[in-house]
Amino acid sequence: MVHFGQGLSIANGMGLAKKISNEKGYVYCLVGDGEIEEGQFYEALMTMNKFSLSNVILFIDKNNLQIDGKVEDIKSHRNLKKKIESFGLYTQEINGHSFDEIKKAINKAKEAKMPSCIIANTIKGKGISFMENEVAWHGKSLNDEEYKQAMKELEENDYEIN
Amino acid sequence: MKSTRKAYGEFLVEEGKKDNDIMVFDADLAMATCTNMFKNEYPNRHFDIGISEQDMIGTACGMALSGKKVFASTFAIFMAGRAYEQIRNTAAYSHVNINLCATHAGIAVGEDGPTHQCIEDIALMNVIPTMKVLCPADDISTKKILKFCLNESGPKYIRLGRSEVPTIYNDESNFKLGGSNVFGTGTDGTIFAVGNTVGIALEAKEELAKQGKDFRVVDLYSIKPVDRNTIVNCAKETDILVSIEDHSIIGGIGSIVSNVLCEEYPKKLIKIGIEDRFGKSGNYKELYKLFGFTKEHIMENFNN
Repeated sequence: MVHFGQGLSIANGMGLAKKISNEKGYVYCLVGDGEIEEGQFYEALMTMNKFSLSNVILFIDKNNLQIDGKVEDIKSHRNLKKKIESFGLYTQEINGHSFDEIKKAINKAKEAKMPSCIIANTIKGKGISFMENEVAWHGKSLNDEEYKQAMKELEENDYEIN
Repeated sequence: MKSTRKAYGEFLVEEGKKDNDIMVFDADLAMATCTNMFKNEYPNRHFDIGISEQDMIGTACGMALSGKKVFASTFAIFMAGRAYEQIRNTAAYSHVNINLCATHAGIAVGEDGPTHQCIEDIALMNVIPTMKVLCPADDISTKKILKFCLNESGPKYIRLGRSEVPTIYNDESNFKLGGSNVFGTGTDGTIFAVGNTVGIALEAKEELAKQGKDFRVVDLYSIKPVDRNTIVNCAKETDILVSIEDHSIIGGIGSIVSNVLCEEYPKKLIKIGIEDRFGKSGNYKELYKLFGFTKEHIMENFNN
């Protein structure tokens, strides 16, 4: 539904609506580390801070890939955690492939009672040998043969979801 | 005399009193857009997002998706211009119930000059799938149009002005989506107008009457959907057709009327509007003279 760079603004609006109606619950927003090159994202970080939106939890899927190559080559974030922190967000960095770490980070974010961000380090295409960290797979679909191979690898590796 | 933006501010206060779900967004222009009138009464339901229009549209859409009745405002240039893709992809594609009330449209902005004079917003908004586009001509129609917008689903763009305009309607006047209002039954010619230019067209109609020419004026306040039947009937019933708008002639109401005529009843249309050029900085009345938005200029076209 949401186009790149625009998600956090919408999540903030939903968080604001909850806040003004005294509704409980959290709004989760997932963005990629490429799309946050868009300026609107930083406008939204300021909005999140202005309205103290502690009911919005922002995830950044940091896989360091965007269409033209590596994020660090196209427009590096340098120290992403420090940058997000400077907008007044409680910021954690975790292994995005660990459900356990995700769960713990969400709990800590809720306890922080302030706008928060979880930077999830991930490997794009994880668990499939020919896809892992390959920028070519950013926006491509599998043919029948590739699909069979991918499913076989995921089953063989008994890809861990803890 | 009252500006449509002021009528908008009054509408927000009146409706905000009755309905706690009305939420208003602005982007550091609350004084100018008149949303500060609402802010003064209901500060908890007014959100100033700062100078970040793209974020304002997104945040306002998030609020609307949560079931609130949302109005978002800034100048037309920063709404239809800067936040175009946010309006298209976030508001329209997701069919968000939102009222985008853009003020300071057209060269009537005056002294702020071409960077602030949006002369393309009708074209930009009209082309977005499912977007409804409305432009009131006075204070009464502003309130009546906003009122029916509250009950219309989906995204709506409401074009409002900075300058004071004469009141031409009364409490009995009716407005509906896809409607128009026709002044007079004259068969010598039709003047299609919208927003600020409706008052000017009515002045021209009076002047022409003094010369024994009976014209009608059509207020095309519902730009999309547009009142096709009225356009076609006017083409059938009157000799000369003219459109006048404080907007580019490329993609404005002149183009919209032309499209309808071309499809249903081909006939020549004289378009008065801003040619393929930018506005200028200056007093609004002087600019209107310079760009030909006067009764005299309309009459020249008829007389030629």
